[in-house]
Amino acid sequence: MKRVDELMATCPLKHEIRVDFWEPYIRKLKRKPVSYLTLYSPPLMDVKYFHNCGLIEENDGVYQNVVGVGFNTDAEADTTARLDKRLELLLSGNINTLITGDKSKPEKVKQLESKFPFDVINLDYTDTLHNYSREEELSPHISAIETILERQSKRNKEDFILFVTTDANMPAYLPKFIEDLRALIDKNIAETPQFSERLKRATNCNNSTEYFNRFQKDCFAVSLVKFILGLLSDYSYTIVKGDIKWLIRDQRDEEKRMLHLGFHIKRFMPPKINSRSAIGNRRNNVEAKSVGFIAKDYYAITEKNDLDRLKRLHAEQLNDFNRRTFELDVPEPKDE
Amino acid sequence: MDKIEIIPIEVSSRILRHIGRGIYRSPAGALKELISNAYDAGAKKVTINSNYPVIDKIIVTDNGCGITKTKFEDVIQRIGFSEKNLGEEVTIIDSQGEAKRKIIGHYGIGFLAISQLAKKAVITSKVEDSVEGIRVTLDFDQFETHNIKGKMMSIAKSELAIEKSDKSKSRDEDSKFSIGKCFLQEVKFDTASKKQSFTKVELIEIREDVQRQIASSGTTKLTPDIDSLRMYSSNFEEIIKLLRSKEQKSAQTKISEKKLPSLREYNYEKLLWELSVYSPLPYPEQAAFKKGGELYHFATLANQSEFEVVVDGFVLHKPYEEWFWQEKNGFKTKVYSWKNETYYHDFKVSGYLIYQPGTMIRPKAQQGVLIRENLVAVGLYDTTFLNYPFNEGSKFNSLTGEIFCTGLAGAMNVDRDSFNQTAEEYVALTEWFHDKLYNTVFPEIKSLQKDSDSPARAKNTDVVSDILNFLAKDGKKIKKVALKSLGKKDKRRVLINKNSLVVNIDHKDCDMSTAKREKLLLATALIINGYISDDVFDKVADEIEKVKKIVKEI
Repeated sequence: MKRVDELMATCPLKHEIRVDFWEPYIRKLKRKPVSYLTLYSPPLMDVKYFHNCGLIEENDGVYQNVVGVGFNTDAEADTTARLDKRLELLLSGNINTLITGDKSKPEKVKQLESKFPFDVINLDYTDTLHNYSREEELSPHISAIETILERQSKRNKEDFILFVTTDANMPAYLPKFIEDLRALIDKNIAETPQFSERLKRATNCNNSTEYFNRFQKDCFAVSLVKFILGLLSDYSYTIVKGDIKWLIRDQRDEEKRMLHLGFHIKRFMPPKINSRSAIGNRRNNVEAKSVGFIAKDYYAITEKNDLDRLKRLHAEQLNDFNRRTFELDVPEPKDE
Repeated sequence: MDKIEIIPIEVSSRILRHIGRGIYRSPAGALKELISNAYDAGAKKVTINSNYPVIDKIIVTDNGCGITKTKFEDVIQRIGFSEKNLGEEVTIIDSQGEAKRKIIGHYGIGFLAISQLAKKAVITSKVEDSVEGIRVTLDFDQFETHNIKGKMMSIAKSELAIEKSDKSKSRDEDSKFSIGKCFLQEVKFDTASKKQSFTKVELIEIREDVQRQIASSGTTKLTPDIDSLRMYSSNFEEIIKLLRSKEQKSAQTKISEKKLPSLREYNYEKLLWELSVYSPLPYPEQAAFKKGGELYHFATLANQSEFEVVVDGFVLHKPYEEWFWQEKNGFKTKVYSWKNETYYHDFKVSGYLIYQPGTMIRPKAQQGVLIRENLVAVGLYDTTFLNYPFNEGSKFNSLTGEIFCTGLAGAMNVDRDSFNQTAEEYVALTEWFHDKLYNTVFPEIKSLQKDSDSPARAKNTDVVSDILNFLAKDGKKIKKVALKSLGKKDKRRVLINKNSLVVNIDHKDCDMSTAKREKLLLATALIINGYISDDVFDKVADEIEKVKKIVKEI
């Protein structure tokens, strides 16, 4: 198993994200079982966990309405071997290519398309959203997010949950992408007084340069939220609630900061007006929505502070989930 | 009188070596052997993890009684000798209580199945009420290991090279035949698992050809491309449906449009299908197999004891899908069955045949009859119906069924996948079955076909009649329209007799296919309205086709 997959299977910090962030967010939908699209990492602990807490239904040995899309056949084989039930659909390949309808793979495309829309979409990336090596305007990840929103909208999905996870390592990003994100902050500062006021109050910063230099990871997170809000707005969606959570791996040579974003998304319906002046001004205002994401301190779990506590809390459940495969559970001989 | 010299008749080790290289027709045949071993060990569940689509290892685990060190040593040193007696009953305790199960393997050749699939295998086993078990590593000689693209792959040694080395050996050396090495180790388990018994067979270094075959990856790649057209199936029902629908689609595709690689697709699904046929599995929860259903007797035969086979999460059952029982072209499925009859001395047989009128049984591999000895299939479906001597044409394609019998063990070839067709018991079974086909099944099918026209065709005929009447309504002379048989020799489509119009239903344009029906209606319309006579219709129809073609080109 690849290192990253092993980490997903055993890391108590990641499990805390499932327990303390993802699960409560899914419950905001106030319905279950949910349909679920996940970018799989072979252990698929998220699926096992959500099934365990009743959010995902199992019937006849199949996790109902659960779709996993991964990258290659090795991962697909590993996923199947580590699951205790089959998914409704498990596909190997680039999600973007599969979603946008590659003519060379019509059956796979059709299979995936037929499963939309979803109640919960979990884009649990382990890399950056726009890698420095990709020169194109839209990275495959961004394109994937956009296409997913387009599909949700086309199938008239009224409300759903979107999780996006990304590596927040700035040097790994395309500099132009980071510049664009910073420009979004400047735009907000210029156009939305509440945004600049709140930024000043929370951080004492007046512009994106100050914000970026002094609170780089926070600035990145807020601007990324705004970027996604923009995408949502293009497809007539807005957010009911959104959150930023950090998972910081600080017990290694090079610290790794994983940004976890969660959004409860609803179709945007212009509010009812009671004055003529409101006509034409009932915009799906992502500028205003961004304000709520500025904070002095963000929720963060770190290896240094939380690993031991979370190990004690989650080790048993993680072990149990890892043992649960479709294979018969037989004992291993003791090491001599 | 000259002295009589006694010459011993010996078999060269080359024959054994050849057997050791593999006696099974397909990977499913070899896997069946491992499933059979688990069944005989009283297992209630067997899981197979094939690591599809990579297939670099296959793990077969069962919760049977396990094997002790002594027993294992005995088996490995004398492959082909088994203490198991075919048909002997073992008692197992399942969720329904105590159940009897008849032993299905008796040669002790499960190891040959392993050697056909992989170069190396690790077997871990433990019996109940013990904290001790065994771990065995098997390393088979008939393969060479190569590093292919960073992965250690096993390829069977060339037969020619083996023969060459065999010929250089002396007679004594020849008799010392080995197919590999076995490293046996005693191991200890945690006391918490004392009550548990199991056997786990891990096949590693899977033979390259096996890997390629299961993965449908052709001859150049080991695993299929992620961009291949592979379809994912969530459960076994979807697999059966997929195989059927792909075949139906392929049958409808013109030969010129068929792509060669598609012929190799779905080998993995076919493997699962074959395993579901071979194994002693239950029937699906369908009306025909439930109490009161026409095949309930066979469901009770198959469900004598709890036995579940799970491959990569697919819970296998006998390969029937709901579609199988649905009415097709207006016809219902017809079932023929025979219970507990004697076919030879005191050997018993039960069997059934299902006839789907007007439709081919799909997947095609299910056409024919399957013989089960003690619930396990011997080979796959036999499309010759045990070499039935009469040609019944397309009726054969619409029949499928199973024969459950006892007493055929002696007639089985060593691969337990085929029969010695000269064995008395097999000949007796053939006679019994052919009698059923000749005296019951085919006469009934023929009378069914005579008695009733296809309901779909009858409906079609009604529609044609209505349209003809409508066309005739405004005709100057025509007052009545009728469909009549004028005989095949009469070449006329329609015949105007005073003020009535008769359509010749024996004419080739009247076989009620859509295109021909349209042609017939066009002919009738033109004739009724006095534009043409029937004898010039073909000429006029040709001209119409030409005009249609020109319009299309424009």
